[in-house]
Amino acid sequence: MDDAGRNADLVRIETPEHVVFEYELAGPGSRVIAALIDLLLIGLCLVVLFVIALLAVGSVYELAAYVVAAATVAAFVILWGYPIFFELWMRGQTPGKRSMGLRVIQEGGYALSPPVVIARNLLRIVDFLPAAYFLGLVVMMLSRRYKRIGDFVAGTIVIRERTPASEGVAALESKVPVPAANEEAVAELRRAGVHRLDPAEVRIIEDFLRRKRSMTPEARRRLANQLADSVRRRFEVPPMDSERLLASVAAAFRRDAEAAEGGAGSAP
Amino acid sequence: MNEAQFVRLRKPEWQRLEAFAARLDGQGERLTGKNLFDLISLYRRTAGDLARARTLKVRPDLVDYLNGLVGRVHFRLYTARAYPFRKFLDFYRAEFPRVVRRSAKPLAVTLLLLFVPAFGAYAAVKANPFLETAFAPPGYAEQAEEAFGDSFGEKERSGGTQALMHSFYIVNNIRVAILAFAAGIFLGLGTILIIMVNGMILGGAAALVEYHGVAGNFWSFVAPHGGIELGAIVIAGAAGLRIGLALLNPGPLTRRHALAAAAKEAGLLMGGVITLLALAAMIEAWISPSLLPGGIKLALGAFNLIALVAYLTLAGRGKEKSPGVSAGALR
Repeated sequence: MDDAGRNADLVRIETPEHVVFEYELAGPGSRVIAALIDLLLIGLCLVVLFVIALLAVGSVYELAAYVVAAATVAAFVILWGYPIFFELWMRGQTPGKRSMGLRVIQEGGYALSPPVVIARNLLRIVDFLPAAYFLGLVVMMLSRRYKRIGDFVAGTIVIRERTPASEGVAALESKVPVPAANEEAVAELRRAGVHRLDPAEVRIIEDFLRRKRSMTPEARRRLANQLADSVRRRFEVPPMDSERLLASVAAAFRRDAEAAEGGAGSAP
Repeated sequence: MNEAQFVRLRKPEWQRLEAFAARLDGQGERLTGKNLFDLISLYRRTAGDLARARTLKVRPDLVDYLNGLVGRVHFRLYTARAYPFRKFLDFYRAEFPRVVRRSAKPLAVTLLLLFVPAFGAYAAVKANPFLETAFAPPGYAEQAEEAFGDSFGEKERSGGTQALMHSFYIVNNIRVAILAFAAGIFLGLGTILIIMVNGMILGGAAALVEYHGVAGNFWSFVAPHGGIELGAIVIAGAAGLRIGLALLNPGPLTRRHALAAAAKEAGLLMGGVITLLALAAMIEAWISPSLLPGGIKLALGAFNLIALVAYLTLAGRGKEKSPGVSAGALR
């Protein structure tokens, strides 16, 4: 199902429009953290319940056993009801999952229906075996789509919904590099014929310029030299620092694209 | 068309779709029917843009952006039917009894798995009273004698310790039901084991209270809620067997799809089971320990059981409404 070489943590979904898109799967790590956050919230609820019970017992001692009885049932309801209620209410999310940007969906990319939510959450009793979700975690790590037993039975997957790309197209544009290149260098490069470079190669250069700040210094230097050398090998370019050369190449290319667009009008 | 033109031309629609996606997520105004066609055509065109972006080999983060946007809307557009309140009522009026009837065979098997061991244990303890501790925790006989002995019915049996005991029983019953369902994943064997063990406990307890001469009080206490409770556990067992069966014999489907289909049915069954157990718990808390005469309680128990069976066999017999627009229909 996955293309060779593609990230195996992606689930491909073909829409009825025959467009393929991908969801990123949530791994055991983020799911465990989400579960711990939920556990914390459940614990908090139980502590509140406990305090209320204590106060009730303190005021009317004869009621002690009744209060404990009611608290026992209430604690049970909170423990089992919490994930079911939230996954229905927040469409496949619990507060823990939301804070980690995770969401449960059905395998075809659909939202969950109530019976599916009930099935996957009641199966926690098996995933939990022998203690602390051991079985569920082992199954999850061995399965290609990081499913615990409840996910297998209900046909659900957990995806990572909050990706950098979900910030919006506006955020995307602000990340377009504005190469720090001087006019002279650009003009010289265009004269050298750099604008005839393969667009795919320029794409790689732009990608490097966009990401260079997140690289370690030596990786950044090595990549810059590698990319710049491949340009230098084919074109007569003025000597300059590798990164500046790359920025200038990108600028020269962009200038050409803009010129072509301006000249041809806006007909697509 | 180059990348810059592509983005400039299509950006306004992407941003409109972004806004719709935010509204689908519950931020800002709710979407209305009027927006729907707009939303769908925006979605379709953006999905097309995603395909085009891949062909044009535009910037990878632009592809990621479109991929994320299409994914976000797809998930909300191709969704299962919403469950409004009317649907909620429909579940109890028709859907739950129907899914129980669809599970008639596993249900019959579960009944056998419960009652054959129950009668076996009953007969065994009846014949050999020394076996009474085999199916009940030690000390249970004394407890039973004390609870259901001569003082039974003289005072309201809702003292503090009783309430505590009931709360544990209630929680335990629901846990047994959940386990009976979930253990179905072990090829149905877990379910079979749990139902049989609980049948034996039931039969053993029946013989035990008889031996100690407190059977009358025992049954008058158990009757009001017992039928519903057992019924719920049997349905949970049937749900577990359906899971196990889907694994063992997926039929024409792949195992994965058979399992998902069975899980949907089992989830519906368990929704009803939880409701029935909640009902039984309320009866157990307020009616079973009350001072009503034993005869009335037994009659009430019989009535409850008959009502449950009648409900499950008769409700929702009318013609089924055609399902509304669902994911399957849209495909």
